[in-house]
Amino acid sequence: MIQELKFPVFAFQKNDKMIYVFLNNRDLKTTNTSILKEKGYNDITLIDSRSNVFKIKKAFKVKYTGLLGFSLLKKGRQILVDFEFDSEIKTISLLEFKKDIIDRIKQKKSYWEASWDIEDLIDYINNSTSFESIAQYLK
Amino acid sequence: MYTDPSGEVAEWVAGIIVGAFIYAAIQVVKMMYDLSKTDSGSGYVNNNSPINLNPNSSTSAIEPSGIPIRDGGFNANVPVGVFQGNWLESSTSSSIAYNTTGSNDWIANGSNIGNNSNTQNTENSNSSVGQPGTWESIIPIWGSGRSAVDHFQRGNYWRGAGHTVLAVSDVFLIKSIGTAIGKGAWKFGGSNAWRATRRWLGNRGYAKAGQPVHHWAIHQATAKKYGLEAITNQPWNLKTFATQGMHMRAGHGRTFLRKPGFGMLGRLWFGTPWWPKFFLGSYGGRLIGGSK
Repeated sequence: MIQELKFPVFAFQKNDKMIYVFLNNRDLKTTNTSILKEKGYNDITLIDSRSNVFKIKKAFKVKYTGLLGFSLLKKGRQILVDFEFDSEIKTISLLEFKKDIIDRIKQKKSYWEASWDIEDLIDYINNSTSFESIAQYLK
Repeated sequence: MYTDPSGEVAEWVAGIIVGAFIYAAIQVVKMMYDLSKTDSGSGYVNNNSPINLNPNSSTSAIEPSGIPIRDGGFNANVPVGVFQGNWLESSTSSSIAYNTTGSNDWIANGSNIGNNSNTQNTENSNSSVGQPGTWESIIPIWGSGRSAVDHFQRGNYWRGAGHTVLAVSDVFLIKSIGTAIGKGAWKFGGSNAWRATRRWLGNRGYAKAGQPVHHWAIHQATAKKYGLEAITNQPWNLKTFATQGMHMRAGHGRTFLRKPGFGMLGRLWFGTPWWPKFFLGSYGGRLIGGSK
């Protein structure tokens, strides 16, 4: 069964406490040729707004974006990719998710301080009732 | 507020604008190179004209500052009253008027055309408002506006249009300065630590809660290291972004997960506040305009 991602989507990568939020499909799936070749997407986990946890098995190029992928402003040749997910799709509870997110924020405190008073941010997350609202705080 | 462009059209338009800024920068470098060709140290001025006059000749060309023109190429004694290339000699005077820029777009007449300001006066015919003076030209809106009107009146439509663009960029510069003053352009008193500054920015309407704030000119780590936070944790050095992704990619040029960072042009355009861009557009444009 092919599950569709419901945006916004959270992304996490192995050995990295950063929280990445993507608001739409194009936002998530745009990269460049060298990043796809050198890093790939194999160590990335996505959590969508329906609480589904997707593990990316493989990423592949769909097409170049813009004028053959060349951009005056961005590094490298821009492409749109798509993913093949692990067949086993787990779910995560909102409570468990909040706990993980707060732990990540505390570990990347100086980063999140550029946007928030950390105590306020943690309060907002604790009081959130959906994945979407948490994404709005962290986007 | 800028959001991440999903369409390439927006990127290309922005790229063209950035390209225009680069063109302007190249013009500045070109102007500086042209200025450097004036070899004042040797007491001579390089003459690009194919005709070089012998300074000892009775009909020699004397630069308005009194510096004889360098003798090079071949020597020629030019008879008084004869037009040679981009030279025009006055038939009523022993002084010779010439165009040091090498173009023929003005002709000096009468005696003793002394310097560029006289030339300017020749250009400013009675039918135009005239070009602003040096100090007048740096007054935002007024200086470039007057230049534009003058150029249009004299039929220089392209230059008139250029100065009109500068006048418009002045409006935005003034607006951004006015907005900053309205919100409080400088944080006086209290702590200048980042936490207190971020709260102040929120209270003054510079940044909403959750909006990433970037130190675009002097980074926070550098400021902390050298104790400059009172100067750098101020609105002039801060730029807000719509998303964390744009902060990382346009502000720092880094990859955001697998999304590529912006290159130099992208960072210049999207990672820099408006005021330096308007300032560059306005005063960089004046510099270029003044060089012509």
